Amino acid sequence: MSFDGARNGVNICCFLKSKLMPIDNALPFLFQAKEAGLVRRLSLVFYDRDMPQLIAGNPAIAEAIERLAAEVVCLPPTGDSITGETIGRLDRLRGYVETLWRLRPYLSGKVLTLGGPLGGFVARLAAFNKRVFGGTHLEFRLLPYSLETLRCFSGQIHHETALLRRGPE
Amino acid sequence: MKLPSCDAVLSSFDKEDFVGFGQIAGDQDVPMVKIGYARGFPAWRRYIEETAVRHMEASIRQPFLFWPLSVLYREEPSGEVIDMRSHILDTLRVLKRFEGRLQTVFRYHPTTDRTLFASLLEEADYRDYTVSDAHPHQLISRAALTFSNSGSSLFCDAYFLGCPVAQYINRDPVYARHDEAGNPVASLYHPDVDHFIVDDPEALARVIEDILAAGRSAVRRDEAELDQRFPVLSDDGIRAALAPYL
Repeated sequence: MSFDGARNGVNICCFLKSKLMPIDNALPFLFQAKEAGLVRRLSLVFYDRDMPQLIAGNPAIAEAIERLAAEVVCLPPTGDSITGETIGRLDRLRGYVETLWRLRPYLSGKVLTLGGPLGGFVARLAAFNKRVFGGTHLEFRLLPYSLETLRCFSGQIHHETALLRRGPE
Repeated sequence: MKLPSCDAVLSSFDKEDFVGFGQIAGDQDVPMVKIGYARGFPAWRRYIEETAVRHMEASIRQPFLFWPLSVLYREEPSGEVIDMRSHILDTLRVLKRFEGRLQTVFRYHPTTDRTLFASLLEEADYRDYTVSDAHPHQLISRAALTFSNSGSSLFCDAYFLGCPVAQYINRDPVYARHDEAGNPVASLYHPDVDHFIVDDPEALARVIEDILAAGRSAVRRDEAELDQRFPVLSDDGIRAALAPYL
């Protein structure tokens, strides 16, 4: 399957948290949106976690990203939520500025910003794009469950909650 | 600075369902576009199938049980302890009986302590396995059984893809729905679990025997139920849903 030569659609800049669950939910949607002719050019920006490390053990994810995206940007990880380590503010700021610079050709005109729930830098970038360039800003709320399954464990506050927060399957 | 809200939310469910589960914080006026079960989109499924042979290890042998791993042991800042070691060891001792007849394909999660897992395999003297980097959907599509002790969102995918699903927990049944007396009665992923087994190794062995005898046809999925529980938009559907925003 190749998406080369797509003539229709819009440019999308998609921000994705570098965790398996958001990626596993977003990539199928992006594949289908591209096949349906909704996406002309896709820029993928990964944030929050160490994306190269995540991709290293996931060849299908790596190849899917390669097929889908015209360019891939990996923001430096903001830290490790398990150990509590965080990178320095200056390093983080430098990474963000570099990202903005690399993305500047795509942050103008009709740009769609996906990703979510958004916070911090990513939310501000989406807002900037919407306000200054009139871009559209969509957020994902994609869950890998049927409604019945969500209903089943939504009442549980045991270890599973911690598992889902710290490291989705 | 107050940030402008997004133009729309692409969601798995209808808005009232999300609101009911507290999944929407803040701005309730944002339109919600239901796109359904994203992992079922046909373009993705075709990609997964096209690349499966390349991504799956040559050492994987049919029939196999797919066991996605997660956290094995962790002390939470709250003082809670996640400890899967005894669940895993008890399971491996059951699987040991089927060595040579049923291979186990493990897949690490980023949170899995690989050194600790190796020590558990050693302790159980379990040898008939492959650790795979293939995508879970590639493994689920070919597995005789998808298995986990704690449960996994992959149970939902396995149900959707027609693979039998089993969960085994032992004497520390925190990964379950409980009755009023505190007895574990169902998986947290109950609608997607064909076999929920508590502290009964022989019951787990019987499930495996049944799977070996009947293969994936040991379970049947109702197509109408799948369509209702896992709605998947067509190309036209996705175009119509997103047209106002593109």
